[in-house]
Amino acid sequence: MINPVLLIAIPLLFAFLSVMFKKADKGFLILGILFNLISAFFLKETEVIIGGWKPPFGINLVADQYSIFGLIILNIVFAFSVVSSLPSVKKYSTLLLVSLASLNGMLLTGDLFNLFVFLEIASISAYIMSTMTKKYKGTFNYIILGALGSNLYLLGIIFLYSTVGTLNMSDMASKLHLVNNNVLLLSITFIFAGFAVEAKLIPFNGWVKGVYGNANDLNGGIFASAYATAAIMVFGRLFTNVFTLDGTLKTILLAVTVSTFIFGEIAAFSQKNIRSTLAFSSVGQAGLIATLFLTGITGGAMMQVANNAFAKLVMFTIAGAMYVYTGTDNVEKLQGLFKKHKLIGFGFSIAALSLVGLPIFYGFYVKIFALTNLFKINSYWLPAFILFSSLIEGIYYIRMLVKLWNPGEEGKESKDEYTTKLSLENTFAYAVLAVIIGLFIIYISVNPEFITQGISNYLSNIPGGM
Amino acid sequence: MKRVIAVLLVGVLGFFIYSNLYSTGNGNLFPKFGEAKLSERVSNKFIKKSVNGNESEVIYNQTKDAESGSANMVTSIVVNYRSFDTLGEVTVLFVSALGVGLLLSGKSRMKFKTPPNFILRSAVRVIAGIILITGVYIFIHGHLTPGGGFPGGSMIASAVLLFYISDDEFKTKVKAFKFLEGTAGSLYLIFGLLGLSLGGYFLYNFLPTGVVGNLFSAGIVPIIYIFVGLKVGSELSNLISDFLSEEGK
Repeated sequence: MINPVLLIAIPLLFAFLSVMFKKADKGFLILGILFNLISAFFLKETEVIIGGWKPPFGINLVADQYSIFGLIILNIVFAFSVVSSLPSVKKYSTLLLVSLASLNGMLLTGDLFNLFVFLEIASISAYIMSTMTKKYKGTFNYIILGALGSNLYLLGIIFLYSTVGTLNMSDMASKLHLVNNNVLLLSITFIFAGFAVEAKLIPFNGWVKGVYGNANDLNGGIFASAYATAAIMVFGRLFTNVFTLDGTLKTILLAVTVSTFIFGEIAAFSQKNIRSTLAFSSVGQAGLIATLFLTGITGGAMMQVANNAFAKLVMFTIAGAMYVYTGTDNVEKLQGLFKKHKLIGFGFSIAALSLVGLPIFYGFYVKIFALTNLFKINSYWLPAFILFSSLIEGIYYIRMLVKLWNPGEEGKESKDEYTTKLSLENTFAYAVLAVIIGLFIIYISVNPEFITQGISNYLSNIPGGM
Repeated sequence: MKRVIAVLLVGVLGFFIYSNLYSTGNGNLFPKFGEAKLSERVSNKFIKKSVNGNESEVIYNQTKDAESGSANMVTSIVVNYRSFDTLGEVTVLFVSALGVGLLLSGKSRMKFKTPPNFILRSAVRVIAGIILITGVYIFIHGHLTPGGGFPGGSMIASAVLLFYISDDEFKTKVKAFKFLEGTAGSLYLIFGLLGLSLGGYFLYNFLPTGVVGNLFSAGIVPIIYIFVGLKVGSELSNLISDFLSEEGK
């Protein structure tokens, strides 16, 4: 039994130590990541009080099934993306440790202001991480939008705090009915808008293409899997447990999330570069998951979080590696790359197909689960939108995979001479990553209960969780 | 055209905020200045130091072992009741300074176009020491008087900035500052972990507290504030030296 606060304290301690002992910083990084990975599996449901002040007066950490589920996925994808691209870490190991601590903190905390603090740390480390590829314009966009988002979130909790005078999440949830409707509308809009920046919802996702589209093998995986998981899980926590929505406001926010996944998929369809396709596909996925959270299908949303995290981890790491080692990520120029690197192609393809939701893969199971539940609550528009966007998603991913596996013109026999001259060096780590995650996705496709078990535990005791 | 749209957007947002915030209706409204009902709030217990159920009045220089023991109410909230947030804020500054270091750090020191004159140089000699001592005083007495680690640390850094301005050759030993920064940060966390092992709670105030108003009265609060002050001071000094450095020729 491990105290959940250690998941935040130990990486942070290692981060401070790695500033002192500059030479051993990579060792500290590996140690911190290993510690978090192992202890995430040993977490039990608890509520941790910090400083001995009982909530709502002090800060508490909530480790229920929901956050434990998020923590396990987060720490796995973080560890994999760092270990598989160790050469790209360079001077950034302190930063990675701090961001690991803050992402864990975001998932664990049970206090609205504490969440803001961790959000701030996580986003500042994300700004710095996005400068790895030296495309500063994207970073600048991200800083402006991210600062706007955190400020809106802070403003939202300021309104709520000055009205009912509490910051603890469960206390807030119980006092929410006391708040005047107009003030509540204002603060929920602001909190939603603030989190929409990190969760990549329209119209606050202008930064995504600049940052995700320029990612390298290390930060691509971390942004698209670890950060995306943390942001969307916290979004789910806030809008399913703390701020329960109904009426017009819910319709408006649903319209925002639905338009996010439709426009995200359409934008991804029209991209030529792999990383920008994946960036817009991430936007689409975020919209889909947020929609599921808002409609109350928490289980489906959590399964899609897992699916998205593992799939995007492989795809973004490989796409970033393509850019790092070949200098381009244009699909036309990389034709037939997977013919040379079959193992990498294997993992990438499985991830893509699972993300699309083709039968026999895990994504199919998730989408069927989500759709049947949507039909159960008598919703017919949402399934239509989801199916439509899945169709678009399927078209562009399969088109990309065909190009990458099979060079040459469409409709003609392909020959090896069309295959790209470029190739990936350092393939071993990526191949291992691709194979492990690919096999894992196949395993959970055959055996979906492996992930669903934790979720059903969570769903059975929602009221006690907070 | 863009500007017109921007102005319109801000106007609409302002109207949205104003109309919703100052509306009337059922339920708790956004309180006007000075009209908040304190008794319904969490902060009421912070002010009376009665989180653990002790309802007796706190009297300066008499009460013993008032929950956190610090006479400064803000400090007792920031470093005792919500110490975890402060740890986070320290980390925010740490990460920002780290980012500046990663992006801007150069080898040689930037030279100003006009060399500093004699008056500035000798004045800084006099003033800097006073500023340094005041900074240290402020973070050591953070639990008694308004102030604390953040303002005290910034004062120390302002003395370093004065050294930079007044002396063309001055350059901080970045390595020493990094070491100090790391030590202070790790010690904050180690004290937190000590609390976890000794008292059962992370960042638990495990040292004895004395009479409110005495220097040694708030357990680990002043110790933490010293770490915060040293950390903020060294971080801001590092920031200054990063901003004033350029790539060597």
